[in-house]
Amino acid sequence: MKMVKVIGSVTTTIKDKSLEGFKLLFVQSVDVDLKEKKEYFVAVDTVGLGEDEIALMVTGSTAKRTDITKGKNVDGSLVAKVERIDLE
Amino acid sequence: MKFGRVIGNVVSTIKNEKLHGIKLAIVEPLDDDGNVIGNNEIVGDFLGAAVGNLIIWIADGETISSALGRKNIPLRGSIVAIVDKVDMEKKNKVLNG
Repeated sequence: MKMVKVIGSVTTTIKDKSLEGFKLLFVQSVDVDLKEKKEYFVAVDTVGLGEDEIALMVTGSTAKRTDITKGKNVDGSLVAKVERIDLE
Repeated sequence: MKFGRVIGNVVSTIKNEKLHGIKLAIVEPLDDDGNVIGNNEIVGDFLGAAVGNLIIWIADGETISSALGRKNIPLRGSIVAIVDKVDMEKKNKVLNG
């Protein structure tokens, strides 16, 4: 999975039917020190995230393994909100 | 999924027969300022995206099959949404489609 920061929300009207009703968030990859990297994605929010929050994004076909993205045309889902990172 | 813009279309008549009837759009990935940050790709388009549209695309093979109702199509990637707007409050930026 990738660690990403939520940096925006995406509004779409014309879209694949299976994406209807999803909250699509614009996210940017971050390092473990939360430094932003030049890598951006659009992902389905499945846990209720807000801007600036850090999340875990699952990609590929495994992104469909949540109740709401099952069988949908999705290859990026935010499945966890990061509360703390422990670096020994 | 990836965020980007449609910059063109590919016309091809001599191709794998399973690709017939599929509009092929050229898309390039963008960052939060709308600048290009990667190589462009050719993806299937079923939504009728126009050149210049901001879009979202998925890098899989199943979306095409479900859209066309036929299997084993030799094409990876499809446009799944035309973007109206991307709102980034904290960075006070907006990208309009």
